[in-house]
Amino acid sequence: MSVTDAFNTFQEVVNADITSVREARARRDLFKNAFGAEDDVKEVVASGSLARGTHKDPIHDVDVIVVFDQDAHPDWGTPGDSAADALNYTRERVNTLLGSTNGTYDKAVRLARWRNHAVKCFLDDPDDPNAFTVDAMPALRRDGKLLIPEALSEDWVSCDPEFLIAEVAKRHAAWNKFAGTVRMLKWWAAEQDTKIKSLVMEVLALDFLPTDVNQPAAIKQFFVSACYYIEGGNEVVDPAYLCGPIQPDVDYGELVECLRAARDNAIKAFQAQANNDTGSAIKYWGEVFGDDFPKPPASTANPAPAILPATPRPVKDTPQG
Amino acid sequence: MPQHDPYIVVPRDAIDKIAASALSGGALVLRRVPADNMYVVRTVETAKDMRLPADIPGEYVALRSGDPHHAAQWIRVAANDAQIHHLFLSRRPQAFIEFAKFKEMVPGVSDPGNGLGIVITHDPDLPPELVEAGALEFAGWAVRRSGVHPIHIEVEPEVIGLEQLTGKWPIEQLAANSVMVVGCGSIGSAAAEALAGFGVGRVELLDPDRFLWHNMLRHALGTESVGRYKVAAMKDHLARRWPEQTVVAHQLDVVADAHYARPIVDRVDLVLCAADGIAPRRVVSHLARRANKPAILACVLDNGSIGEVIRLRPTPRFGCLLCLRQHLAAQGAMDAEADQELDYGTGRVHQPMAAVPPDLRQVGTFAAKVAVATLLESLHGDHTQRIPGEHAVIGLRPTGDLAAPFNVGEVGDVRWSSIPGPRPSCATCSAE
Ligand SMILES: [Zn+2]
Repeated sequence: MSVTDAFNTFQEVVNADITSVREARARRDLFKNAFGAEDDVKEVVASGSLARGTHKDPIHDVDVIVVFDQDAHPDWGTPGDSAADALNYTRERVNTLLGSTNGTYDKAVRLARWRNHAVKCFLDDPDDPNAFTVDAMPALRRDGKLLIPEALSEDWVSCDPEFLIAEVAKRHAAWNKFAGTVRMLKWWAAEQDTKIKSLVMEVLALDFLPTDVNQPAAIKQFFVSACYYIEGGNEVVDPAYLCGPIQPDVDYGELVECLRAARDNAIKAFQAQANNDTGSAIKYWGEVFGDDFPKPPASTANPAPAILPATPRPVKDTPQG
Repeated sequence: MPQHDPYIVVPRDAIDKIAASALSGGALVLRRVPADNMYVVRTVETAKDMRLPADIPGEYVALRSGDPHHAAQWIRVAANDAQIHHLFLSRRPQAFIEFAKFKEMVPGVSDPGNGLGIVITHDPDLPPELVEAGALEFAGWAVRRSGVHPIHIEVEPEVIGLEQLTGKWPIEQLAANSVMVVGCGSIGSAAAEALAGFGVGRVELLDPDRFLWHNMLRHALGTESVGRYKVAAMKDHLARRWPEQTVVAHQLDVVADAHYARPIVDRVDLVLCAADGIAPRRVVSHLARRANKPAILACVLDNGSIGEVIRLRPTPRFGCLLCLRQHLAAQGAMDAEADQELDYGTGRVHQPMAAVPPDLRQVGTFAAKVAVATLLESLHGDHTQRIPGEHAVIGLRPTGDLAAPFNVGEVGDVRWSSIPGPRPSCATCSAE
């Protein structure tokens, strides 16, 4: 097994199961079509990792943004009650259109609750821990940006989720493993003992995941640069520079520790590969990504153990001209 | 081939002309450079009675000099034994072929009479196994009636310059990066040369001064540049040596012209400040932090006894130059700069520089290394370019009695430490 094979195998593990991706898309389309026919809805935008192609297994939710017509809701978009009003209104429309007992478009949603920015819609049993939800977020479009309600602050805030979608698409066009590699980085984040939001990894990837080298090299480079950035005390902020820090409560001290450990193992893996020590390379990548990363072959034709403990390499004295 | 044998240099253009010729052989005109015992191909017969000069760019001064008109020949050989014989003979000093035998192997060779004939044989269809063994497409021969000896031919390679490092050093990545160098004095000129050598694609030089006699001792520039603006002369100097790099010259003073410097800081990836004086370093520290760019500051301290290279990062963890200086002053490691600054702008001349030229070059080169390492680690994820801290003190002529962190004791020692975070009251580090 080569390092490339190991990454290909791991990619399969990380990629969401195709049937659940299809189910997620079907649920997204249900909302798109139901709300798309509404008189006061200008468009329904798919958002979130599914829209960016960076979802990893398991899929927890799918996001849609319902862009309402400002003329139909003249009092929305200003500080005060209108943020909650918009969420309430959206929840009512979800029930009317898609409520499981008497929805006019389809009978699909068992429970809809609104949160800070969006209405969380349960299509599965709300008590099922594996249930995945559709988050329907009301919004207004102003100056090319989206204005979304924020119930807690009783205000509306600008955001530009389409910016991230477009940026990821651009990178993926430059390198067709970009989205898959972002899924791996999110997988890595989920494996850490401290809470690291998936979106934090996606935004770091925009800045630090190169698109011109192979997948192991790109991941190694990502951890080196991202670690440098976070070690400097920088925050991860909305790439559209509208919403500020992505995860204000993240423990940056812990994040640095996690990144540093990943960086050091990724460097060991990278160097092992450069020294043609495939077994050690795969082992160190396993230390980065956890138990689901493929194991190096247990034995080879060589009677020596497949993986020797990494010892310092003797220096070479070669003429340089 | 013994060391005293002549040497044939074939410019790329001559190679191309021979390779493209439909003739099976023709005349060559070589130029002889006696001092270097070297023959340079200058004219190639490419078609019957058509002799074309081989192009040699003007900067190859030695290849364009010497005595003209040493007649020679080029002969295309079929896939026969000439090149492999050349290989074997080359490995046996004093070995040669009798002229008659050579003539059989290389038909068309002229009788040299009592003189020296020079022949270049060309085998365009050399089998790969012979190439592997070390045989060459072009081989040279010193032809005498007493015997034919192999001569070394040096063919101008297709790839010269930094491109030769493709795959071994991230030249493509660095070619996309840019650095602004503030101050083109002794340290700055060395730093600019080093940045070019590392392959940084664009360097913007900033300095208001002229290059004068007193600069010459410690500078990368020489007599040819006396009287010129330093930035313009450095631009020409670098263009000759590193043509792949873009150099932009700004005849500006970073303190007096800070408003012109600001947009330059905005468009580069990093600022390297080698300006002599405290005020310009403070201005660079401020401008770079506000532009969210890293800055590398390089200088010598204490009459050239130690070098100092500081990496300023515009992040919450690291303070600016003033924050560092105040911290060092507070712990008794550094004289308060306010006193030193009196020298500037009060009409008094600078203290005579005590540092020795190679020491200043070392500090400049070291600063460029730190700059390039910063670009490679932060922008390109290069784990071979990590730096152990933000503040380096380098022993040049260390007296050993300075306060920490300047207490290096030995020449060549590099002491790294970190730098403190921003002071709450700092005008540079606090949010805009
Ligand atoms: Zn400061």
